[in-house]
Amino acid sequence: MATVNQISAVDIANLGSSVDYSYFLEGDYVASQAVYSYLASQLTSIGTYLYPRDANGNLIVNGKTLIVASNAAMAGMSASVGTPLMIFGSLKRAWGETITPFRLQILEPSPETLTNQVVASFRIGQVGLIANAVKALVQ
Amino acid sequence: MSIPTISSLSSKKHSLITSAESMVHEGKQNTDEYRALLKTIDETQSHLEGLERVERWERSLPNPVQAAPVTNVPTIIRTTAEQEGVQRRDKRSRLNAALRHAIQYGMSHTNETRDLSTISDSSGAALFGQAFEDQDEWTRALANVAPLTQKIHVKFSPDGSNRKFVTSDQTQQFMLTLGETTATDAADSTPTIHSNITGNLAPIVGRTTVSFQTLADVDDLVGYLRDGFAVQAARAQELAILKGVDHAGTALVSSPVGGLLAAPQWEQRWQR
Repeated sequence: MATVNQISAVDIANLGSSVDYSYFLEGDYVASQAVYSYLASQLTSIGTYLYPRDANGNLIVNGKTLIVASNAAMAGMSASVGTPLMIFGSLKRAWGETITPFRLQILEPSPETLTNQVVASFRIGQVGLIANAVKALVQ
Repeated sequence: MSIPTISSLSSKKHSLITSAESMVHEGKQNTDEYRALLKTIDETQSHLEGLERVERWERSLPNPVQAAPVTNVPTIIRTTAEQEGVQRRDKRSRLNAALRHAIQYGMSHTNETRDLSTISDSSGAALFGQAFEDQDEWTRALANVAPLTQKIHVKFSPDGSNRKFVTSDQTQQFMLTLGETTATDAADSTPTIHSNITGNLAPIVGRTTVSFQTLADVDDLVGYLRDGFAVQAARAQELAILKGVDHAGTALVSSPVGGLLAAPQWEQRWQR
């Protein structure tokens, strides 16, 4: 039995099963780096790591590669009740994004400081698509 | 009968002249036989001149086309991948050189503009985004930094205009059997279509000061800028997807409020 602000393997498996199975097959888990660190340190009863890793070092949870987002974008383990700690599902069916090419802009050289100002920018617009395709694990 | 040639007619002519000279020595120059021999010599000479004219005309004609000699020279054929690799390296090299020049002397002194955009804003800025308009460059830059950005449904918009997404949840649509004797129509349903991004695309901007020395010391200037700024851009994009805000927490005008994490119907709570 998991306690508040702990994520068990059963929680992760249930989250995976909460979406349509067709979405499960093409689905991905997403969590913050803090949650990733928590999961990566989980041990089995005989002291081995609970979650395996693939050849590139990615953590495998419930048979899926865990996508790690920044701590700014997703909550850590001390998140308040009701805040999603992990999401799972078919992200491409759930979310659409229109994005312009990444632009780098360099200002004219500054002789006083021997520097250049480099400006990076892009434009983005988003839309939620199929709501059932992704679900979130909340405490 | 053999065809007379210049050589055979010349021999015949010399032979006839020799015979005529012999008859003169023998005192037969007033005979009918001698006069017939002279007539034959004239005819042979005429024939010979005719052949020589034909030969000169033939020599004046252009040479006939000769078949190319068959040789076993191997032909080097580059594969498409090799060609693309060479072109990409050439482009990168030109772009690096142009960028260095622009950084040192300003855009107004840049000779190479094929890979640089000379669009300037009111502050005199110069854009050089073409290299990054290659979707491969952008995708490669983000792949390791923010894989989430590769998983959602992305459409690129070179001109900044909106794009439409059309999709529907077919897991909620069903097909029914039609009985052989039934008069009832098969179930008909219309799926819910999710498509529109509302409003204009929101600009997300970051600025960094880089020293001349740093820019001068970088081997691959384009790669340095791409890889460095890609981290910023990837994190910004990730934040926009998951929370619909910029780094300061300001909501993006063209994104659903709260982003991917916000929709309450998506929450999955577990009994503990």
